[in-house]
Amino acid sequence: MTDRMTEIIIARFSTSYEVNPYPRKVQYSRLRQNVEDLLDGDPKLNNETVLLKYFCNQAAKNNSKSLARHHLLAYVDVACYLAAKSTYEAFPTPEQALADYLQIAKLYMVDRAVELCTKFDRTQSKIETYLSRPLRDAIMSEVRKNQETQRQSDWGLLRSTSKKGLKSALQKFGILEPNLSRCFLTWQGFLEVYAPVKAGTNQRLPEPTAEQWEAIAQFCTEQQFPHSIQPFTVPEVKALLQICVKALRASTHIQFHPLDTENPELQLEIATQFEQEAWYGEQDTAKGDRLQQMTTELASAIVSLSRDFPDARKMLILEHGFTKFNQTSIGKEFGINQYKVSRQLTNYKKYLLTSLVKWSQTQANVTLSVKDVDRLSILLDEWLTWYCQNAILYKFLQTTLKLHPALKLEITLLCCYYGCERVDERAIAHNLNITPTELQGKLVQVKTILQTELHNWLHQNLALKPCSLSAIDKSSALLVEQFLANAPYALLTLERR
Amino acid sequence: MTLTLAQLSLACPDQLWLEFSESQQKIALSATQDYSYEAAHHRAFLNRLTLAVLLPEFSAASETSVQLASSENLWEFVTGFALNLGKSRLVIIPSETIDTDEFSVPQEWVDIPALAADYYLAVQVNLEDGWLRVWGFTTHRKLKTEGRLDEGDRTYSLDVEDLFENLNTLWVSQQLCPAEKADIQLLPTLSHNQIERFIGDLGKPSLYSPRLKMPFAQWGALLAAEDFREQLYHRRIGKEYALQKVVTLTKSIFSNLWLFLDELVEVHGVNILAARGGSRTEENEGNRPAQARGRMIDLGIQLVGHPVALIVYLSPESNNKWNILLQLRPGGGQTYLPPDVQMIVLDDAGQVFLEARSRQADNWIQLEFSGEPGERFSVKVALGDASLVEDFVI
Repeated sequence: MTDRMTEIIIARFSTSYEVNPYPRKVQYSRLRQNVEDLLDGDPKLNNETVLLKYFCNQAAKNNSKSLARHHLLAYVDVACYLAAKSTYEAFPTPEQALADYLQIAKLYMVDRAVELCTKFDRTQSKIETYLSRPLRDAIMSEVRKNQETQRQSDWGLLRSTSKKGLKSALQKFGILEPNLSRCFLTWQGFLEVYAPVKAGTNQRLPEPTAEQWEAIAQFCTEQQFPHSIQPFTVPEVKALLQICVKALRASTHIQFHPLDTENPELQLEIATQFEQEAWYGEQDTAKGDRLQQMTTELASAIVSLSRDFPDARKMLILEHGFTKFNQTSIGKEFGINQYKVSRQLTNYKKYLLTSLVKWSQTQANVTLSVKDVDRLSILLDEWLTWYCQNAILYKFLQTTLKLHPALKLEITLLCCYYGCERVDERAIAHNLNITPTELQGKLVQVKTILQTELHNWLHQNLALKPCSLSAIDKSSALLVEQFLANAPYALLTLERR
Repeated sequence: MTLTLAQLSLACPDQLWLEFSESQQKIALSATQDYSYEAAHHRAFLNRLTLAVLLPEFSAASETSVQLASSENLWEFVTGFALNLGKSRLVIIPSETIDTDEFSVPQEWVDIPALAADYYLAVQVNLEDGWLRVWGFTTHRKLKTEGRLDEGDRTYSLDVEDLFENLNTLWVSQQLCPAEKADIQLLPTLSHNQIERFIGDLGKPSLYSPRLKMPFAQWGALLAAEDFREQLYHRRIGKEYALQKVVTLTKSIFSNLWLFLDELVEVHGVNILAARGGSRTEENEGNRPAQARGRMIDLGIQLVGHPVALIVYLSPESNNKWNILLQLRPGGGQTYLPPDVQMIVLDDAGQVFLEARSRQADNWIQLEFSGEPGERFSVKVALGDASLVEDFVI
């Protein structure tokens, strides 16, 4: 274990992503101090998996205000930020901003962090991958609900909630047993009996008829436990359903904060942090060998796939190589709509997944389970991103940096600038005998050349149309920035000699 | 503002998002058959629409033939439908709920061996905006081992993070991996009397499904048998043509309750001295052959040890008339009927039309009359306070 690794662990359990007054990371000194004390007291805890398990156990034992729970909330906070960001990019609404999406994600985690962290298995995926699904679904549901709650009648609202959603809303609304169970039973009766008058119109649904109210009351009477107590009456079930409606309306009304703009530096910082962690994680040579074998197998599968579908490689590189270049933009390049892009990509990935599963079964000589196949499908997505970015695009940028006459002279400058943990432009400029303004000018020039060369490569090798080159500009700039932050300067410097 | 399908599918690119038109909704609605209450009708519409939208997609994506593998009469009781996909069986559970924090599957689809599947797919349907999405799937084993069984509404539930999201996982697994089915406890075998009682109780009209009205084991056993379920369904929607089913010999749904006379003799020890047709070899001769079926009757503790059989003989009288002979005979190897058992024929207004009562040492009692096709009558068999009424349409 290195000091750097310890620092990453401490940061993971003590850092939160704030949105006001601008997006940034905030480290809580109390949480940091607590982790440091724990690591000092018990060296065995100096391991992310062990420490996570420790906090889960502590949080399960103690009440909701325990420090362990706050550590877990910090641990999942980066997943909240990334899920909010990716969902916002794909699913923006005029009424809400990124900050609102982040708030929904954080609120969702307040109740579920302990349970989800306990279920989380670090050997299967990263926390942000594991949580991306529930967080994204929670954000989408809340945004949709928040919109539809305004336009739905009480009866439409009751039909659109889930069992878990209602239970949580009632509890947050302060409804206790036995009323909680009675509300829940009445809602169940309502769902059993009520149906929209006309299919397709969930909005402004009318109140149940007198006959339906009677049936709801009868259902509740039959299903209540214990059976001996008094029958439900119509006024009673009406009142109980009104409590459900009030609780649901209260839970779906989110107080959104003033809107903030994005912070590209934060995004870059997070991406860099993950790459560093991935680097530390890849010290295991067995894993490296396996990755190499998998790469050989999948790269060959992509070649086979491209024989039948000539667009496959290009579409996969655009989808997985450029994070901000979405499927709508990819569709424009191919003259098809986003939906068809999604379909084609799904089919390509099915082909690759089949190859990967067959290969894995042969390697391990075992039959895989559905869970194994699902893990491989997640791994395939991660591999595609790694392959398209690192093995193709970064590799091209690295070669360009090494061979381009104007760039190879700046490797020392880049090494000084990107190689240190805290950038002090004045000190770096001083060491290089140039002014800070000249330093900035050289950095801009390097980025511009790399981006231009990348665009030329895309045009020549993938036949990217001029309109797509223009659309990919923001995404390629981010890619160049990420590459420069992680380039193997030591190797490049050695090669220069 | 309504979010477009493109926006939604960009947010969840691994899920299958499909659009449907208003005309598809109308077709699904018009094709939806009879159900006894509005919520069941809507449930049937939602399932039929989901089926129509998913079927062509699944055929293309899985590269195998996909077929509906469950009956539409199930929608009278529970939501969902099954598809056969190659060697695998999928159950699809559509829902209009906006929240996708958990996936709930009715217990019927998990714990009834005849209905259980290998994979369970969660489908969210938005009727207003005209789209649906498959937002996750799971296996039978995962539902049984990790799912929460809620005894209140009889559903198994899994949280969203415990579902598989990517449908490619499903297509590849069903081709390359063994099925993941947990053991299912066998359901009890119901006696004819139990079946009759349950169908009688649950067949009464109500504005909600009768699925929670009896213990799951018995309900499951009843629902598992296609013919009993069909009978219950018909009873609930008020279209039970009992005698027509006797006439239509190919209808299997009647066979479990209404038996051939030789079966009554062999299985239930019914004493039939002079059968007027009704053995399996005699009936198929001629265009309008004489037919007979009988069923055992349970009148509770009053007839303990003395089961009786109601036998219906049906034979053509003239072009548009049928002769109907009703007999009540002792079963269980007994020679005589218990005394004071009544057999009453009621007309379609419920008025007594014919009546007979057993005396000491009667071998059988019988009533005979004729009627035209479409005429309705009922036969009531009674002893003391206990009675059973069977409705017929000629």
